[in-house]
Amino acid sequence: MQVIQLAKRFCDQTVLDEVSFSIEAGQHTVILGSSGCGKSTLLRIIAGLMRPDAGEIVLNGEVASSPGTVRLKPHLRSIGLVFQDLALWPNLTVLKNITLVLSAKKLSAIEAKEKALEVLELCGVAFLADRKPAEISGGQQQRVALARAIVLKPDYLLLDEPFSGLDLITKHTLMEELVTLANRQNSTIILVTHDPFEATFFAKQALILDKGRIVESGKFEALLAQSQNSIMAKFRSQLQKTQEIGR
Amino acid sequence: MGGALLVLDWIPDSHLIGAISRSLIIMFSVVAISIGIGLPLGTMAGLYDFWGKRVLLGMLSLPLLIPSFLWAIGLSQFQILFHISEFTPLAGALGSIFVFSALLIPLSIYASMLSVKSLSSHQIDALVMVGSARWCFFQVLKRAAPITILISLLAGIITLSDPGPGLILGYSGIAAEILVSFSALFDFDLARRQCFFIAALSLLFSLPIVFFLGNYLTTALLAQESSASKLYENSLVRRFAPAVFIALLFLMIGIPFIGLIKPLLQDFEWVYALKTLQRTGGNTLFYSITAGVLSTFLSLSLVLCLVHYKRGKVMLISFSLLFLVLPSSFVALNVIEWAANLPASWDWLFRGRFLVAAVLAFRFFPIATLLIVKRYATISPGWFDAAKLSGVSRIRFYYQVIIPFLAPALALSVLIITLLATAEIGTILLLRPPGEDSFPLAIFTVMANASEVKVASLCFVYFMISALSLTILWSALGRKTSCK
Repeated sequence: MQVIQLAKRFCDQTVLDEVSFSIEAGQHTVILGSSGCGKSTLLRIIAGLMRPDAGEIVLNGEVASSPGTVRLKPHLRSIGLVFQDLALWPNLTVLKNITLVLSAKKLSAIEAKEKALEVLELCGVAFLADRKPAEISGGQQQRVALARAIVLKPDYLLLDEPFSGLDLITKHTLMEELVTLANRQNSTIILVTHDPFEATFFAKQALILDKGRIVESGKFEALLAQSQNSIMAKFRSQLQKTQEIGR
Repeated sequence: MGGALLVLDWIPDSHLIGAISRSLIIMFSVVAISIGIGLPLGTMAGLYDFWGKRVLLGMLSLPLLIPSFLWAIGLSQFQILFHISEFTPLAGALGSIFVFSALLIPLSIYASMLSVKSLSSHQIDALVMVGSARWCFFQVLKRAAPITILISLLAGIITLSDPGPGLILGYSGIAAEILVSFSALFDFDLARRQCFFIAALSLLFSLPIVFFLGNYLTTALLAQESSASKLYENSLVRRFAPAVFIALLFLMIGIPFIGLIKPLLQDFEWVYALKTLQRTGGNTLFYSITAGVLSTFLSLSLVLCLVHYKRGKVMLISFSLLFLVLPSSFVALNVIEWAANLPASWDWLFRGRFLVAAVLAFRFFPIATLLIVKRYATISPGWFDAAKLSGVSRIRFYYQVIIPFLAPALALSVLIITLLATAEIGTILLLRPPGEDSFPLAIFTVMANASEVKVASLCFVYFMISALSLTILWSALGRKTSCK
């Protein structure tokens, strides 16, 4: 995936400004930044849910978005997205939340159900298939949202701060399972977060976004050790404090 | 010269100016009373828990489902039967204010209650921790005041177009003049001109409200009830609130109801009432149910088409409110003129019962729109994004997710509009084909000529049917709340 000179403005506010980077297949990437720095907008443009004002998104060698245009429709980009508010359809059961996604693939009802149960099993929530989202816990809802995002075996799995609001144990378990699942499906994770713990868990590569611009990028460990950027400095000090408490 | 005469025709004469002034006196008095009573009571009901709250609040909505002229008949009968007209002159202006207040006070109470309910329990906790219970109450009341005042004002404008109470209690406003011009003088042009003035007057008051405060009104009307909101305990409220609400109900409903049914102590014309019901029941159901279904369908289509646009929601709400305050006779008379110019081959559609139902549907579609938009506002944009990302077809997505999600609001809309359309007489009176009366219209047309007992029997039957419908409505609302 290549993001080239991407820009986006809302009214008179620049949200993204000449953002460029590339992500190799299998190179899980974390986009770090404080609230309101344009992280979610970047994910939405990558997913094809929003048009860029300038710049391009190139997916597998094909221009997917160009200025003012979404050339490749969202469902043709092989992208799964776990939304910050999960966006599960509340009036459908867990199973139907998955089979509705599969309806686009023209499978028979039985095939769709089998495939849905398979992915729910993979995410450890098959036993909740007949429940509605409001009837299950927050952690279980995260798993259902994840199942919905990966059921079509996407090349890229975009995660928009999906673990916020979860307790530490659930978050840890989910993150472990997520990496295993993504690796098994050959999906590349792109995680948007402002939490250093989540970042350390996933990252091979990190991008630091500040006021709509990429201020640093590279190997996450190297950035964590050397970066002079204020966001990374805060991450570093927070991680050090936690390690000291751990000792 | 001819043009000057045409212009002169449109200048209101002193008779019309007198009627307009009377309507305005009623409107402003009723708005002031409903805010004065509705705001504190609504804030109290939104903030505190007390005995019988659900039932008492439910009973408050009864005046909204019964035509205002029935309350006016009841009030008038009460004074005659108990010989108190010389002590408490509840006829004329005071009587009209009394009847219209019974319609507006519940609306003010509900508006302020909903406004309070949109505060989270943490927001109220923060107030409770800073000041006394009284201080806290007034802070919450201040928060509820703007929307209550605006809603009361808009509802007050609707009183301009209701002829019933003025005609019965001897204080005819502009709406009564229109009815007389059309039904008694058979002067269609005069009725149209009067209707133009009333519509202009309604827009004069409502346009600034909607134009300048459209954004605010949309936010306030679409504010969701906070799931975290909780009801507080207050010993003073617990002790006195039920008594206050019962007293209000007695004044608003009890007195006119006693007046309505007192003649039944002499006799009850069961057969006459049931025969009238049998004759008009089919029409009543046809008009009201068709109106309920049509207006809900129309509103749903509008919401689905417009709500995604940047200012679509504000436009929808503003337009709905403006349409709601337009007098029913304005739409009806224009439809009559329009239908009169169509060839006879269109009579099946434009001179039949369906036209009545369709105009009723137009009359009430703003209410359906408000209900549907309110529900729609809870939909996360992520639902659509998730569907787009996975390539779910739009039709399937709407059929399986959006429409079922909106279903409770759609059902509620059909139910409420069916009830409101049943109580509407203005439109049916102007548009019904010969002999196709609704039940309330049958009461309206016989009230001047039939005996007191006959009128009371009809009123009692109508009252009981409305009370039953209200019970169904409130149990449906209760189920919806408990499902949240």
